[in-house]
Amino acid sequence: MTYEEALAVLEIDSGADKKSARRAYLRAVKRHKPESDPAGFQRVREAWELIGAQIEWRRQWQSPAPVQPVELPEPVELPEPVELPEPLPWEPPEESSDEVWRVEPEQAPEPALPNPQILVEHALQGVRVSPEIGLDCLERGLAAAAQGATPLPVLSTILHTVIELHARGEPELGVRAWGAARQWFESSGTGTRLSDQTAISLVFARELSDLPLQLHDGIRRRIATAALDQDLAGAQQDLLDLYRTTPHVTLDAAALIEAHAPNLHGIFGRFLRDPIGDAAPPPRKKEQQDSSWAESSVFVYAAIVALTVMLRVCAISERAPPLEPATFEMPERLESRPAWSLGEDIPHRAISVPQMALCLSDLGHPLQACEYASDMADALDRYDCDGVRSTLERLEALAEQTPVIPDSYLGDTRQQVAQIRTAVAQSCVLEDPSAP
Amino acid sequence: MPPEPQSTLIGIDLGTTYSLVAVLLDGVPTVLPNAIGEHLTPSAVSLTDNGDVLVGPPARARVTTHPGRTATAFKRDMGGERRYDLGLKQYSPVELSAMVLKVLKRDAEAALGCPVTEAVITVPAYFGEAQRQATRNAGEIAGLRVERIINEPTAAAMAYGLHAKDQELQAVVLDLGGGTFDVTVLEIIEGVIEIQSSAGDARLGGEDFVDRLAEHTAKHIQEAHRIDPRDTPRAFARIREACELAKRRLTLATQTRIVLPGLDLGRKVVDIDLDLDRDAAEAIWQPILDRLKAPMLRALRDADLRPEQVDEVILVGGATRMPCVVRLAASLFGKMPSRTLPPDEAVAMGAAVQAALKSGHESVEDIVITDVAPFTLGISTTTSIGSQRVEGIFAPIIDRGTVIPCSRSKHFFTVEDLQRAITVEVHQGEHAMCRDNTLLGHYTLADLPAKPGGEQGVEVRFTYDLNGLIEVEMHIIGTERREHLLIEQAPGKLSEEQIAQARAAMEALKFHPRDSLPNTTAIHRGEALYIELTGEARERLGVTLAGFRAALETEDEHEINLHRTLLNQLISSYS
Repeated sequence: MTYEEALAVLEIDSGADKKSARRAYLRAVKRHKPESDPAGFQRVREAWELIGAQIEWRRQWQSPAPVQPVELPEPVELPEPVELPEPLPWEPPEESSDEVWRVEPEQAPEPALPNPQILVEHALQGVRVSPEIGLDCLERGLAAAAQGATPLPVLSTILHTVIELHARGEPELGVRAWGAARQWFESSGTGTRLSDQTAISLVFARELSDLPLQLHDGIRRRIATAALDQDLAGAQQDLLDLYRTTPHVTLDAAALIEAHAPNLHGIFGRFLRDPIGDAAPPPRKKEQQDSSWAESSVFVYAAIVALTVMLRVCAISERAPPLEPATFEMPERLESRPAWSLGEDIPHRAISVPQMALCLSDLGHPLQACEYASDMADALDRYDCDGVRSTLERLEALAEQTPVIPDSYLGDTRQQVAQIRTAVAQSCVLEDPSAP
Repeated sequence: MPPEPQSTLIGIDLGTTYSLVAVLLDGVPTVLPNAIGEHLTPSAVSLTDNGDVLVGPPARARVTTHPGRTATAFKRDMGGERRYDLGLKQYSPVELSAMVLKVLKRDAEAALGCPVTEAVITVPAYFGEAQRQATRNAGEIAGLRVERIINEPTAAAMAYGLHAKDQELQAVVLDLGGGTFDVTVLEIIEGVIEIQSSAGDARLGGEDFVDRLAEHTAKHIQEAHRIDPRDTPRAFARIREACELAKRRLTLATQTRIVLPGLDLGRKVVDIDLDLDRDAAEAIWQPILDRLKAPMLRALRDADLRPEQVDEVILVGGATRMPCVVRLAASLFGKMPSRTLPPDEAVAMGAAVQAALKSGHESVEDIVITDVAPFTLGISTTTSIGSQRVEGIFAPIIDRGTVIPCSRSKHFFTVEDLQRAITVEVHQGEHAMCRDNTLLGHYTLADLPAKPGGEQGVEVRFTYDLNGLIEVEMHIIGTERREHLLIEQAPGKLSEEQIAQARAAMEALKFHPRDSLPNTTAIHRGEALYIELTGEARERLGVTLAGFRAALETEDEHEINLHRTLLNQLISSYS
């Protein structure tokens, strides 16, 4: 049933307020009694659930918190929302200048297009009432944004919507929402650095959506709720309890998470697999269990940045065939940027950078690891070979200075660092257009 | 004579302690009197020495005098295996309930002056499909076609909704019965009564207040006499009975006494006389009162209401008479709760409203009531990891509390490569694993297209109607194939033959003649009270009882009525 059909069933127009819509619903119920006309009643009920949800989000985000019960005179014309006051549900991070997701509109907003920001806000409010409608709103909002409507949607709200769908036990809708969100990220091309909270949301949204549908619903919901409530420790405790009652369920879930969601595995997977841990736990695991939310958030941020590094390296290597180091055709968008290529060894060696960053962040240097990895991403973004080199050096130095890193644990990270450094030094060729 | 009935479809509240019958007369739900003119018929069955079946007041009176011949509270075992031993014969809870229903039917026919063949029966919200089916079976055996089984809190809400049909308000119905607590939030606008949310505690009721008081008293006795009365079941039963009465007295009085003369503790016989004031009792009950809050807040939250938005708080159920419960509700909602409906009768009245709706009664023509699914329905799913496989994970499709009738669907996928069949097992319950829920039926979808595991999907749609009928539609995604499964063979449903057999067995039973019930009840109540009394009072009761027996011998109606009135007056003055 579409919104328009629902309006027709209840015989109201889109401007109806809650009270008149509810009256219309109850009158419709009288026409289609559950006793004598079950099919008609179900239709009326469906229409009401849809309209009621719509009105509910309109009310929720329009009214300032705390909600003041105000008696409005009848009839009430609800004004269509025009502008939103900074709708960031989460505290802005310290480096709030990092939040470059909302870019300046490049063109004057066309009044005909719906407001994507509002639609996405609707989506987040909406999934709490009716997942289908929430998803519909998200998709419409992102589609509108892709067509150039402004203001642009807030990234964290999009991600929350995805996670919320998972928290409500609607993984299929969550996957669809993530698909829409990913498409938007890719096509918009905005933003490379995220605030850490948003980065965490991104990990959760993506990996929850990557998890297969067979994953135990309760576990999926709990993980998603943990992300929304920022309560990883509580979720870990709940999963521990679950393990005690139904170990096989938790173990199966752990296997799925390990296979499909590497970051979630870092946070929950181990926990699910071996929550009690009879042997002395390896340092990483202990660190993981002891870490508070703040620490894990930095960890996840580091992971994100590190993974960005990896993706960037891969993207670059894809453009430059590894066996034939050469320049490549620039896509139109990047035309103003210098062409560059990496040697054949660099791409998959550089992949160990994220791993290294993760290890370091795990071993008590989350902030530095995070900083270095994000510098690395920056350097790659700016096509700055010196930057890449110096960042690698700093990473290596940090790894060297970390006495608690057991060789067995870090494996050959040090060696890899050295290799990457050499490889970068040898074959990272920056073709500066300004150079002769 | 009562007015000519407008509906022969009756509403029955088949309670744990009491049962009631009500019908809509002149648009007003009216509780019908039983053979001795009372509204509440105890849900008790007793067998006399010559094999007569006693049901109701006389049976209840025999609980203390003939415990081995009497069954009470058998509703708790509905749908279960337990059989009750009545000395001469054993009966299942269904049979005992059928006897109660048969007597209720007989009383209703006497009051209405016409045959009664159909009924709406109420059950607690927490009753599962098996218990509901057992209740249906009991009705069928008693010769009643059970038109509808409805939830007790829904019924109470309906009774209130009819009462307030011309108003527009948000109401909360608090139903604190003997064993359960139910909170229902409803909205009434233009004659449409919509249940918005419900919550409850299936193990919290008036009996818990008595239990706590009895425990407290037992401890007190143990301290005073160094014998634990809980080791002597008979003694503890008497303590409990006395505490029940004390609890009731504290509803009106601020002080009372728990008096137990000649309490036999096995090694020693003691006389107990304890003072109890209301404040002390409420301190003992505080933990129970605290537990009452959670369901109220939950129901409000589910309905998205703040306490001050509730226009009216309705108290239903005997235990809401207690001042501490009233006070709790008042402080939570910030307004005085009302007892618009008679607390004990509201559920039966609601059943009568439903009965009238069902029979298309004109006085309820402009009323519509929407009901909610009493429990979660879903199917069993399997997760497969490598070689390991977990079966029986419950995947809900229709959540409890969804407005019915309704239809919902979900997608499910194969777990193995080239899997060609999926078995859809329909379960009902609130647990994560299917083994803890109830299996209602199953269907095997064969000849699925051969695809890798996880790629072949099946859309399973559940349609749940007002009669509790579940229709399952399975659509194999990517094909035009749709298969149907109708769940009507609920667990424990009896065949026509079994019903007929049980009905014949019921016919063969000799029920105590209805006309002599007032006399029989008076005798049994007198005898039960005789045990509890001492001294002069006991002597007086003995004399009056003997006088009544003598009057019965004369078979002179006038004489009998005179003595019975005397006896009943004496009994009520001592109780």
